[in-house]
Amino acid sequence: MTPDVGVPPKPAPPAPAAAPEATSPAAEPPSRRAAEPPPDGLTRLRAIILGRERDAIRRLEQRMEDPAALAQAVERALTTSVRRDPRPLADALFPVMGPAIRRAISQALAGLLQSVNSALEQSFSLQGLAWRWEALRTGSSYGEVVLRHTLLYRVEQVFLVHRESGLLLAHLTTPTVDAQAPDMVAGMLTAIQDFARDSFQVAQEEMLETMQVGELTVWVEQGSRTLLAAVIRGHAPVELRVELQRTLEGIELEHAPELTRFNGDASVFNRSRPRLEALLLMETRGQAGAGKTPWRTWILLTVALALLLYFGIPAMIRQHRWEQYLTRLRGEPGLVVVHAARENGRYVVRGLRDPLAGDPAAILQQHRLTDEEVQGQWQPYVALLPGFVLRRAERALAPPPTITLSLSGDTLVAAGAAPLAWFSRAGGMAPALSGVGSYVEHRMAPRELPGLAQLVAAVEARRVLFASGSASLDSAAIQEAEALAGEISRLDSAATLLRLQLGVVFAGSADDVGNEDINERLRQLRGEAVRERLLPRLPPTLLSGAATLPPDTTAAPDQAARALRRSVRALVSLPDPAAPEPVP
Amino acid sequence: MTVLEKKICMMGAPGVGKTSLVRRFVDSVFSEKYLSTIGVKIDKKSVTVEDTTLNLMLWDLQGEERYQWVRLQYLRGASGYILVADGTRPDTLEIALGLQENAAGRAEQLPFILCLNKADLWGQWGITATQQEWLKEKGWTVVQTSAKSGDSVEEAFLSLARQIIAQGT
Ligand SMILES: Nc1nc2c(ncn2[C@@H]2O[C@H](COP(=O)(O)OP(=O)(O)O)[C@@H](O)[C@H]2O)c(=O)[nH]1
Ligand SMILES: [Mg+2]
Repeated sequence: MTPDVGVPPKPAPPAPAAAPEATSPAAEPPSRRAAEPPPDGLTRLRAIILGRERDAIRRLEQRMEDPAALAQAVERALTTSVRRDPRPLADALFPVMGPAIRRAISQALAGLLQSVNSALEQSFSLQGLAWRWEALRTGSSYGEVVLRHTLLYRVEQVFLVHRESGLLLAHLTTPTVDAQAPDMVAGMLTAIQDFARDSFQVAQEEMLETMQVGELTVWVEQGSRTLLAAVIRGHAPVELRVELQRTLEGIELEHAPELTRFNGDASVFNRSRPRLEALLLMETRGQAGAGKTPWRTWILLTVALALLLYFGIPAMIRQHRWEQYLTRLRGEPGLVVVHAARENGRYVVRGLRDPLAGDPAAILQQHRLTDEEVQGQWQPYVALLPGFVLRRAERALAPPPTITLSLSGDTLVAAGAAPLAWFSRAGGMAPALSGVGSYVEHRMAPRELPGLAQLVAAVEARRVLFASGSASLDSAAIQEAEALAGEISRLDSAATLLRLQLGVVFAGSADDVGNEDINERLRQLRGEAVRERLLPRLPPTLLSGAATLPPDTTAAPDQAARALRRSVRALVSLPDPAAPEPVP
Repeated sequence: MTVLEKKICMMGAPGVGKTSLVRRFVDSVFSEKYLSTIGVKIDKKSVTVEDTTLNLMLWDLQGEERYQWVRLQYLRGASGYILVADGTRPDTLEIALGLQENAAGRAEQLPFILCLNKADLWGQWGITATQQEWLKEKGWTVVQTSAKSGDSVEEAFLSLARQIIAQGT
């Protein structure tokens, strides 16, 4: 219906001209000869000899000048060349391919950067910890694990689209995906390309390569005649991009003829379905990992946590007690910790122990540890600490309570009252004791002992006073006698503690006035009066008897002194400790 | 039975009823919002002519008049186009003629038809019978359609489909 008028006449098609040449070479020379000037002899000879060859050359010349024929020949030559060895052609094309390759490389780098970024993002999250654990478990590097996970994806749909018309050539989906009118989507994909190009005014070869909708990413690869779009869920690795390119190249190569004269028949592209299916299959690999790994990781994490709670916390408590126990041992005099460690699942402590030091087993119990958990290995030794030297001396010398042992430097001092036998034994043994350099004694009478001397003085200072010529106790005397009894009791208690036998005598005295006989009598009566009075108050063993003091023949200086002489006082006797104690 | 995919472009001045015609002809999947957002909406309709089924992919373009020229690039890869003019507005026929001229200036000669739309508005008709005769003499297929009543819409698309098949063989 479109009129052909106005279309310039095409140059004569080469086929009709070539056809007679090829089919009937014999018919041709006459027509040519008619156009040529009349031949001379040589020319004729040449025509006779070289006739056929000349025609062949002429034909070749013609063919070389005809672009259509030349194109055919070149095409054939290239095809053969590539089939034989594609390298020479690839080398020749490299300058053209260079920019495209550079673009691919920059894309790959961008992809790598993306995965590194997401790795960094994840590295401090719980997910990151799970991946670190997985890396530990599987013995692969953390980077590998991160890559494995961040690159999880699946290709859900693949569109092969005729670039020019936006017509759908092939469409594949994973079984679970419900695809919406794919042929319209295909059209829209190309329309969007145009839209993006128009809107941002970029070169015609530039294209919208990535579209992102929530979890879905659409990657579009552009070939010379087709578009390959992949709808991807998740993070696809840059290798997928390469795979898309490769698939597209393969398809374009396979379908080159159909694509050049595409009339809307998409059925021929069914041949490429296996290639496209391979893209969908890439999903399976990624997904298998996705399904299992987090699961396993979580279970393992939970188990690890449970184990930690179950074994870890008691172990922590045990460790804490062990450390406290060690601290205590180190502070304990007479114990020297030489080695403390965990060996074969139990704690072991080795060291030196003075026999007088605290018992490690008892300390262990105090720290609520059992000898199952802690094994102690103690070598005996002698500690030269002052306390230990002293305690050793006490054990060896067994001093009576009236003896006080002390250490001044390395001098052992024994002060107090003791039987002679004890002193002589102590004097012999003490210097031989470890830690004792020399030995000194301070012998004392029992009444001089620090704990007793004052009490003795207090008892002996009391005076129960009598009226002149009287031996009966008036109320003041009774009071004084009672007080005296109290003092005696205190002294007795102290002496008993020191295992000393106290003796008390009430000694009466009289003044220098009057008859000496009477006075002698008064002395006796007065002593007995006090004794009698106090007998119920004091243990009888104590009161050996009343005594009279010898008459004071000196003249009393005054009345007061004279009155003081009409009195009774208590005289204390404290014998040295008697029997030496047996050494335990 | 062969199945062929064909890209068809709707072309014409704004407001002539391109979108309405497509809506009449197809059961649309996508919202017409696409038109305003990216300027293109694609719909599909299968028609069968003899033993060939054509899947017509109808590209409907949105835009102001001046963009219609730019959008000629959408004709790339198309197997045909539908020119639409509003029968009540003669100026829209001028635009349709201009578009056709531009389209024909491209390398390929594509089958097309002209829809004189809004045929239901007979009273306000502004395109003369002489004009239509002249177009038919030029070899154009001219169909009077009404997207509103549905008159001749199916027929218009089918007529283009037939042309495409005729040219394809
Ligand atoms: N009466 C009548 N109105 C129509 C017809 N077709 C379209 N319209 C109206 O014309 C206006 C523009 O239509 P639209 O399809 O958007 O035109 P477009 O810009 O070419 O896509 C709308 O208000 C339509 O309702 C028709 O056949 N008859
Ligand atoms: Mg519209």
